[in-house]
Amino acid sequence: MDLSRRCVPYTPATRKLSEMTVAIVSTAGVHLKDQEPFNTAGDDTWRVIPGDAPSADFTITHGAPEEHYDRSQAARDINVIFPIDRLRELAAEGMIGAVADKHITLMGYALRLQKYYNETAPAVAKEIERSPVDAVLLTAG
Amino acid sequence: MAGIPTVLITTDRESSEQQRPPRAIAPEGFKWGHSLGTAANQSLQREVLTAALQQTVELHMPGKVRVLAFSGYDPLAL
Repeated sequence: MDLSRRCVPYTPATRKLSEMTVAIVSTAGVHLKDQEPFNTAGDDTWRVIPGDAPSADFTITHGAPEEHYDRSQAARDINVIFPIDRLRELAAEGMIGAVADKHITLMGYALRLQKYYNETAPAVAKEIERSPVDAVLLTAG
Repeated sequence: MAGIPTVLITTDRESSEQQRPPRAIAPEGFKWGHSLGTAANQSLQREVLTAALQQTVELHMPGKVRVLAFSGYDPLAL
């Protein structure tokens, strides 16, 4: 689907929050410790995070300077930028329907914005749409 | 219907608003990298996450970032 840069791609929700399966898409440079780190010089690849990944298995690789993106808190608790445990708690309590079986992470800090807009973002959307997801939470660094 | 509802948590309201996101919140005063607050402050993280998800079912103006105040965030105490 082509999106005009002038339009707001607003999709209305068709379900109640308590019935929604929620995925996270984050450009905060989060990935699992055993996944290939992002290239801090620039990287438009993404990592698929299994829905059941333990929060202790995450790390962050990001090219932005620390003064622009403080990783100290997220390094201690990934939920600061990738709230996977909090999402699981909301699902367990019935506030949301379920946590998606996969999430997507990228590094962001992209210098080639045109490629990000035309290729990376649509490919990530396609990846997300392959599994049943009703809403996506977006976080950045 | 094409598309999936999204909601963004941003710590850079100005840059995010230029992209006109369909739904977005900016926790007031949060530093870059502290999207949901600080480490081990689970109640604050939860509050921010709940507020963000609530946007998916609440009416507001698409393309605008909603600035929300949360108590319990104190980056100077870190």
